[in-house]
Amino acid sequence: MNWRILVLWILLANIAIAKPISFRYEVMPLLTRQGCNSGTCHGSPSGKGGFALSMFAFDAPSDHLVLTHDLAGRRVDVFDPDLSLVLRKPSNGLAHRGELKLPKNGREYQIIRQWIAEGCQMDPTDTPACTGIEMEFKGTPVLYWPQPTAQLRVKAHFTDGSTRDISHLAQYTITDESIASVTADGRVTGRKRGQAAVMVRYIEHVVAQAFTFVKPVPGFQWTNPPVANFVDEKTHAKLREMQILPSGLCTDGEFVRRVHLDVIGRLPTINETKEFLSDKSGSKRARLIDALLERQEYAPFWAQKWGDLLRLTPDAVSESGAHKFNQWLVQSFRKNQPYDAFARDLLTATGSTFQNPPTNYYRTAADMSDALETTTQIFIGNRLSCAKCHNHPFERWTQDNYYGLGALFNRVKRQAGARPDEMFITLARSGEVTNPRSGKVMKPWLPGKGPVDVPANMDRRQVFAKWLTKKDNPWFAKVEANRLWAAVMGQGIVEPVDDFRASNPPVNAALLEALGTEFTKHDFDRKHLLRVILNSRTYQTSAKPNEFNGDDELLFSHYRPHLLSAEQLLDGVCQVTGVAENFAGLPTGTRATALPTPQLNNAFLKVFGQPTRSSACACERPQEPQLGQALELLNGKFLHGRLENAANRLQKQAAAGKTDNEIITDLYLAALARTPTPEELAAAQKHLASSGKREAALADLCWIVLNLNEFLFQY
Amino acid sequence: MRLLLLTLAAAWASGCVSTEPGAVSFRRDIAPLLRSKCQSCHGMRKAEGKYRVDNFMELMRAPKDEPARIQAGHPDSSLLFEMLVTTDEAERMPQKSEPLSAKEMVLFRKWIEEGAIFDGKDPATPLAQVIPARKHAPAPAKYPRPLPITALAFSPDGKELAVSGLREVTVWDSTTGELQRRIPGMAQRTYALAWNPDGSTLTAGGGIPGELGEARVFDAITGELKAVTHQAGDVVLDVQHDVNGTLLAVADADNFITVYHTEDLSTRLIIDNHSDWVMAVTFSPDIHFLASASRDRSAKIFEMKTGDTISTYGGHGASVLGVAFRGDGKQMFSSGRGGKIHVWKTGLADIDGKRFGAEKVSEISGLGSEVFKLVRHDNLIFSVSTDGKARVHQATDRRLLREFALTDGSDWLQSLAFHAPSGRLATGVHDGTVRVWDSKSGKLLKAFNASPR
Repeated sequence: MNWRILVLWILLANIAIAKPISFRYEVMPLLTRQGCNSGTCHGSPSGKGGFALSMFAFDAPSDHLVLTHDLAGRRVDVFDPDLSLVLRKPSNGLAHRGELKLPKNGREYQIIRQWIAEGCQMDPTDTPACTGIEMEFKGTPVLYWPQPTAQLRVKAHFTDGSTRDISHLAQYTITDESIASVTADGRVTGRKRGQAAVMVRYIEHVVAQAFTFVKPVPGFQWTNPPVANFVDEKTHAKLREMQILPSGLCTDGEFVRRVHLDVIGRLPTINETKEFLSDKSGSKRARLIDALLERQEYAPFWAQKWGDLLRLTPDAVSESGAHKFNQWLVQSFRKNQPYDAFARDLLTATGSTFQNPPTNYYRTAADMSDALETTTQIFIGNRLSCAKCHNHPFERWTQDNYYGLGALFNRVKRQAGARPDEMFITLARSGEVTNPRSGKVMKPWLPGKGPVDVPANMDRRQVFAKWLTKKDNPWFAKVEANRLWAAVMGQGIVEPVDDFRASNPPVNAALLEALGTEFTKHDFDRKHLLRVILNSRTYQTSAKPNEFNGDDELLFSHYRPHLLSAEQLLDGVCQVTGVAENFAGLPTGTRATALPTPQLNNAFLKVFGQPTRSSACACERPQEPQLGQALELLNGKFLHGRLENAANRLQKQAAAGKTDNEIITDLYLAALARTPTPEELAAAQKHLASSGKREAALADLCWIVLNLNEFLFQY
Repeated sequence: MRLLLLTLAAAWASGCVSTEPGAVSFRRDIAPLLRSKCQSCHGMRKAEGKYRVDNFMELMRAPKDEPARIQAGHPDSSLLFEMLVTTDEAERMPQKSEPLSAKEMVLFRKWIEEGAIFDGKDPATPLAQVIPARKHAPAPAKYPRPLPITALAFSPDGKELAVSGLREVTVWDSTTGELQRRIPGMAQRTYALAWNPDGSTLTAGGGIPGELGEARVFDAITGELKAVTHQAGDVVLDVQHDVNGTLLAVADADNFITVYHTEDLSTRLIIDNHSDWVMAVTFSPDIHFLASASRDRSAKIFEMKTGDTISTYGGHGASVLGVAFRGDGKQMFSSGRGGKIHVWKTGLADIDGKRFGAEKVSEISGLGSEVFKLVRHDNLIFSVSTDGKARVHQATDRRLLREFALTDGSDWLQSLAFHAPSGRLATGVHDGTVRVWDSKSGKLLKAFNASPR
């Protein structure tokens, strides 16, 4: 080697070593990496043991003062760094409730120690800032046994154009510990077959990567099941990769019941079922789907789902406001308004809440924060509320982003109208948003675009709506496609449906991508996308698992049975018994699945989880069964009343001289969309025959059928 | 030869501290281990498994219907020892931490074998006070970089200024800023300094954060250590004499206030009424009361005669850092996080002790985000805060009389001393500077870096 190069190399190497430790880019990331500033430890608002850091290191100046100045500089000793409290405690030199976090022989300890020895310097103001991070690994994100493992490296880019390896400073977490693990050094290893994402955090930068872990399944062989459309292609591709076989198609009886409930919210009638079962043509499922999408019940049923999201209640927008807003939603679904136009109508509405019902959007979202958080949760599936007070713990959203986005919603004015309960939504000409922590006035900001200039006289919401509904928006189409998918499949491709994050990746990204593309390609036509999904074999699979998909709960290899919604159950019981429910102020015969607003005093709806519409979160509708539901079904007033009612359908049939056989068969068709098996029929006949009182025996029989899982669940 | 000498010296040194050669001492060997490894989970405030080890009596106490955890003379049937040495991670103490070292385990074993003897006076004495006073490492000849000034005190004649140093107290000429002498023997940090009224002794409070609190009394002239008055498990944050110098109040991060008789350093009063660190204490002008500021977000007033709580003020809603009585003792000033000085009426507790009637009168705002220390003299209230400024307000009408600030700003001011006869104010800066001001004219008389160099 040329000696000059050697000298130069030694000099450069020494400079690299002599460079002081950066507080912002080395010490602070380590505080995150070691868990010091997490929400349950010193990152909680009041800290722990009197020592409070900013959560996930979002506030460098404050953390610097806390470490160096607070409590008379108790935490660091620049003269003898090893005596610094901030090192002694987490290295267990002194008792530490947070356990061992900085082993003395570890690299992390040495970095912080050196920073203290160098005098606890804050970075000079001209220090290049980090602009982003990148995760790297060899090969593909599909890892196979016997070595389902990958070593991650993380690079950070800085404003001076430099790139640094920060693998030793980043924090690694895995979304599903049961599927795989990741070490502090970024080595990811599968535990069992499945999918999990690794999330890497470096100060406010977060990236995530989904990994698939494939373990050969003995005896597995792909059988090339038939496909109806791209939905099946994408679903099958994922299943094949994971060595799972889809189940076969569901029966006609299962299908007719399933598709009625999903599209129009109600059970098929006895005649509808009979007609479908007796239809021998090959295209009858597709024809039924088309017919249901045009049924009168379609619009109110889907309007109700949106009423939940939009928190449509009389409390929020007045009785008449709620009625008008619901009517607007029903009309929108009736005319199959394209989803982008629907979103624009809501987001940019102005005027009277009576004359222009979408203005109620801003009546319910009563301030900047609410409007921002509701809009982002509903339309881009991102939960931003964390970023109001600190950078988002699992995402790239910073506090500045929050208030920058907020600036687009800040000029909405809400004024009382002339008529009682009326409100006017207007726009203020001025009004800026400041980040309360920094005191900085925030320029309007959009994801992927950064700060944007908005002409002074322009409605800032238009800028947002335009960005949102552009076909290349990364979330808009996918979030709604996923919501439609979840509505009919019982489970989203991203779940929860309003929590899109890099660290919560879709279980089948290609499928979601394809659905989003299909949705945009067809100009946000919701009925079209539903039709595509409903016609797929994936939608029409049986709920019965096979040898190779029994443990799959996520990838749509077989239909996932789920409890009917509160409204569907109520309607179902009414329909089977032929005794309608009365709702205060609404015409007799109004079905629960067409209710404009929640019926808060209806015990049955309440116990089965009718949402009160107090938040925009899809999670308001509980998924888990409750004890109260079992009690309601055993001897609740609602069910009992209908069974006792002398005018119920079964009693009427009996009075009309129908045979036991006919009554039993009709009951099965009404409740379960199938005829009873010979064994069921025989048992039921035996019960009716042995009982002295036919009315009571019929009530028993109906009670039994309505308590079958087959009735309560959608299969 | 040299090695042999060293070995002999070490043996001699170890023999010196031991009561009996070869025997394990509870005070010297066991208490420090219990305090650093066990007490945070098995102490007075948090007693996991209802077992405490924060003093000898508790350590040996047998739980109801169970044998004591330590069986004197029988380590192998002592549950405590068994749990120290077990290899079962789920059982082993200390939990979720490194096990004791082999050497430490041998000490424990031997101490129990030798009868688990308590070699102190009162078995109920807190561990921190049972542990023998430590000898601290000497101060460096020169400071490699300035040390934050955390404590300051004028000598009664005003000529000298005692300043917190690195493992020492430094004494400076308050006029010239020249170093006069160095008083060694302090622990890592010094947070409080107090001269007695005749200037013969200087008391320094401080310690090692998270490990040790001490108040040490020195001969102010010779620098000789006269006594280690006070020991605690975490640092001492304030030391204050009453106006006559007959009492010494010590506030510590073990949340205690301890009042000693200056004469024989016997304990006059122990107050355990705060739930977090006691940041500052002060005697009322008539010495009937003692007031305190605490990180538990309250300021309190105690009656000296009984130690009873007279009133509690929670108006700050944040850590309280400084406290002072008004001259007539009827109103209080307290400062802390939140950047305000609160003024409140002392009030009296109900007879049933339920309601404490401290009542806010007004507040002084416009200060830095944290106001650390308060000193009152006659009608003047002096304060220092994070904005690098010292201020003096009129105690009666709360008017700002003067700010003591550099034009180009300053690092945090964390300490403050006032010398009434000469009207001078000294402020200690986080960057290691001491500034002496004329409180009447606002003129900066002297600024010097208080680091021996």
